[in-house]
Amino acid sequence: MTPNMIVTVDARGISKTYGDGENAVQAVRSTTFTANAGELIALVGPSGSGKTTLLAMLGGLLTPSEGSLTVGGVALTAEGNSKLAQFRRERVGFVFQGSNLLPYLTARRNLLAVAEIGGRTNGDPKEVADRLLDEMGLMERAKAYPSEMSGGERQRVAIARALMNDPALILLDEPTANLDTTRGRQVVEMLQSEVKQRNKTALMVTHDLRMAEYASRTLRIEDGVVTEV
Amino acid sequence: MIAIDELWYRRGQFALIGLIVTLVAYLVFMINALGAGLLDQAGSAVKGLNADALVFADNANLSLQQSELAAETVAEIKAAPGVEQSSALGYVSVQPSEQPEKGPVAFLGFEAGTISAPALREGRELEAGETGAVLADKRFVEERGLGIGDTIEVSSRLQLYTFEIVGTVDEGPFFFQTPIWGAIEDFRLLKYGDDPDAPVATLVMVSGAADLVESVPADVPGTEAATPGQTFNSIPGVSAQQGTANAIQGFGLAIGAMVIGVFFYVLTLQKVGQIGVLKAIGASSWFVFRQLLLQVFIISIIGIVIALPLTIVTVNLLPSNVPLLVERDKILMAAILLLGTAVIGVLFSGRRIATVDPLIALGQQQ
Repeated sequence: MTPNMIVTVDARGISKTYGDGENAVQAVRSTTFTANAGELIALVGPSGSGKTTLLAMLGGLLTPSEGSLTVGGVALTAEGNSKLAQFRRERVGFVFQGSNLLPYLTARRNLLAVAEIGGRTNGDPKEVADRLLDEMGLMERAKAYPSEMSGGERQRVAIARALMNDPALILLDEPTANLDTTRGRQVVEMLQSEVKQRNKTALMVTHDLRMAEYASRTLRIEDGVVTEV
Repeated sequence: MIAIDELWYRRGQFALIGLIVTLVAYLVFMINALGAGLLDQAGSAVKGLNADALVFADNANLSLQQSELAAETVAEIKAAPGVEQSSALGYVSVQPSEQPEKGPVAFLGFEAGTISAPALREGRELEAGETGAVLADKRFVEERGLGIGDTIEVSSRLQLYTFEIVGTVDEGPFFFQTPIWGAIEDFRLLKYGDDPDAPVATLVMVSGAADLVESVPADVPGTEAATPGQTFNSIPGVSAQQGTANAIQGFGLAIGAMVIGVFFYVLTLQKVGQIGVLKAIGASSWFVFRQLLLQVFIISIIGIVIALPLTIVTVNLLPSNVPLLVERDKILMAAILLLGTAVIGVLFSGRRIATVDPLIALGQQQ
């Protein structure tokens, strides 16, 4: 790590166990890693390896059973629901597998919804939304509903939505799973460019090793254990 | 706002629930108007009597039909301590000769120029002691196609009496009958004939000191007193009638709340995935519930706003023998109750929203 590197994720010995006693299942085991600003990290691993659990912990959707986890300067070890919601509003941007845009909002309104729910934007929300849509090449689709957009367009809107609150960490859950290779590459290239340009940290869960090639480094998770590839 | 955007996007679905809310509101308002109309028929003129207390004969149990006061008793009541204004009032049911199918009317004998005189609407006032003339209620003249200057013939005690309509008033029905207001002397004639020893009034209206309801019966033996409101409520059937109307309205509100509640609950179940996404990107349960509340509020307001003129038009179109009356305060109260019950109806949805785990946003596709 270079001296000026900003550490966005600092996970130390985190584990996640579901259930207890004989029924206990340890989805993530004693994992330690850091992620820095400007990095696009690919997280690969087979189904059931613990990818989603790790992603959920990093995004404040779950808290670790053991260990300490700090994201964007916020310790997530024992936060309550409202604190976690606030953390997600302020520090995290999510891009889901199927884009998961709200179907009743236009592309632009999907971005503005982030501000409406209380997310802080870096400037006037309308200007930020328009700038992001412009950067994603979606200005002409600003008034389109998700059902009127292609899969690639939807994922680009989802990335723009994830950037609305100027988050420290962007988490992507298989963002190219529903896209053909060409569109998948376009989306990841755009993501790579945004991460570098804005000095953000992104962690992308993917099954597609071709998309992992765009990452600055790759983490592999198997049986809950994370290793650097 | 997210809630309004969704309303617009799903306008077909929301129009459907809006229609249901409108129909429920229309039903509630019509029942409300029916309740108010029935009460009005019972005797809004009684409730509107301009007095602090109405003094009856004590064996009459506040009955307008049973009470009879002798001349000496009336004089004692008028002279009782604390009484500043007073007036005798007589009630007798008479049958007009023309259009008898419209039923009997109330002849109310009052003392001209006193607190028992009704407010004139058209024509002229009765002069003190003027007999053979009446002020007819506007419903009476409208229903029978009469006007000022016309004469009417009424029968009482198997005799016919003729009166000239010299003016109209709008004091409302009296004891389920349309009233005509005449001289107290004519009341005596209609009810008792020429008997000089007969009672002279049904009741005495008194105003003045604050405690006349208690003090007058204490000072004048053989009397009891009540406020106009208490007298109105003691009219046989009024309480039961109003209780029935209120119960039907209550059922209407409860059904409305359930219909709205079920609709929004089903909608919430359909949107669990979207709620999960909203919560995953940082929305609180309260924020999501607020969107639902806003939608319920808007839909209910629209339903009420449509139902109100619909009710007024219906009331005006129905024949006057259907007792319907739109009273602003009562309808407003029903509208507020409907809004309140609609909000109660979606509380279950709020509970469901609170239990949606944002974790479901991961791995789901929309």
